Amino acid sequence: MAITTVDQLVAGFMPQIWFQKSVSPTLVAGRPHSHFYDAGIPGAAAAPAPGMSGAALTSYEGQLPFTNPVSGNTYLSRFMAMTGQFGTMLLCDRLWHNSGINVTLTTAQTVNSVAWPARDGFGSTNGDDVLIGLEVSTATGAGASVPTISYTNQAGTAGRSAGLAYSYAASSAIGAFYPFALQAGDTGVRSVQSVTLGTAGMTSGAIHLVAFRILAQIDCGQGAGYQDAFTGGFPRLYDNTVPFLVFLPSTTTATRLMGQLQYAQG
Amino acid sequence: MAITNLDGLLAGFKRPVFFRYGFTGTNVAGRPISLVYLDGYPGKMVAPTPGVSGAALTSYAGQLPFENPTAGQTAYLARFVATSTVPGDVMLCDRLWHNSGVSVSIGLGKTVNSVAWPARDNNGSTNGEGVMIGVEFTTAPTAGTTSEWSISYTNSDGTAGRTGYVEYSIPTTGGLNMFLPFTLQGTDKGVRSVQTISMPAGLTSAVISLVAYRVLAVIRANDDGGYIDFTNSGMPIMYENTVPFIIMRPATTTSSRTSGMYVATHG
Repeated sequence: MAITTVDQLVAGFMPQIWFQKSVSPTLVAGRPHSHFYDAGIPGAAAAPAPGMSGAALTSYEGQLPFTNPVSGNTYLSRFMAMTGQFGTMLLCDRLWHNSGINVTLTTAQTVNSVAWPARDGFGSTNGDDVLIGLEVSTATGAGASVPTISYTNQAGTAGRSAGLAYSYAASSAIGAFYPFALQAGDTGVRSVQSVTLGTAGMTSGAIHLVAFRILAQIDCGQGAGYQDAFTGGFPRLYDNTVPFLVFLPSTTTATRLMGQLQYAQG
Repeated sequence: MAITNLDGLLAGFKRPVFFRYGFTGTNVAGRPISLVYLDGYPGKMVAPTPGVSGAALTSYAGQLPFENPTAGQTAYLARFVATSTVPGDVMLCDRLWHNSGVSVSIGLGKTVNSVAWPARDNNGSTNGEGVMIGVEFTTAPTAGTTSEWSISYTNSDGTAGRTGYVEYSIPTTGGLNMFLPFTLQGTDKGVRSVQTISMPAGLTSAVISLVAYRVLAVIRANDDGGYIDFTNSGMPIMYENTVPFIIMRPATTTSSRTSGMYVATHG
């Protein structure tokens, strides 16, 4: 079953979900920040600890609320956010994360990620639209690392490699979130085989790899932005979605945010 | 079949397609650049190599993903969003054809004789209405003499011997990834094919491709973004085998990073 009419959309509206996050660390203009570890509503998440191969996620304490439909599908019908500064807010689904990366090791570290849940762009485990981010849960030290990953792409081709889409900055604050790019022609990641921090390492801190899919993007001009079922393209949220927020700030300052989510199910 | 009401629009939404491109080099205010050779996601393109007559495109590694509609349905652009770290115009375009192997040394009337476009002009035909030509630099020049390049083309009405001139001054150094459109002659509405390209003066070591493209949507993006949706986009049709890619025209010289998404709806 699916929602295919406006009447079904209206009938399928679920209660609005409020979120607000306390003041972030000082952000850096243009560098993404994950609100996963910020206090507020929902509460701050604890740093993952599943080990290097990670865990496929169907829920995680600290995520935005999500309840599977009794029947049918779930869609994003409304997303709005107000922030203390201009920027872009991403609503993402957190498919997998890991722990145990040695931040001082400069050689390749085996990941061999477990299989993703079936929540790629097409609701499968292939990895279309699935990206990998490097997330900081304990502020890192002075090492000027240049991280790379070796991965299998959405078509099942192994031996792919990529560096960060945003250069890593030494002494990154908690919540810094660095997406990796993709190798030429790839459109997603099916699994990660290894991570290398480069010749410098990070000296100290704790980091994680996160497999995520972007569900929505709104631009918070004048500090606010929103999308609805029609203007947002009505994206599908597969069962067991683990929603979390990533913010791309426009200025170098701390910020707090609040907003609402609404799903439609049917 | 076509989408003619809100129910059809809603029922037809496809998954959002996101893109994010790394920093450009130093921009030139007002001079367009092709973002598809920058690191990011999707993974970047590699420079074309089909030869001077080029290749009609139904897909190309590094394009933004596109799902063909099922038989009998039409795909429409329902939403396009972009954010850039510097203000600029961000264009979502369909890449119909491109070539390679055109020398940038001095010469007039260099043969192109492009192969036929795919049926993706404004009307879904091969005539070329709404199809424009740009020159894309995948390797920047290092020396030479600037000049006004021109193409001889056949317009969308089938009239040959038309002339278009490159809109921007071509630099003799720098300009990696710049994407410079050619003008159309008179009241022409598009290009059906390209016969020759002329360079009254030459450059050193640049690698270029001619690209036939159709602009699907353009938005002004700032650091707080810009967007269009079905209410203000006119819902342009994305024909079967569309090859979406991004061109940006920055408003400042500062290097920039661009991200965004598009959503199609089928019905």
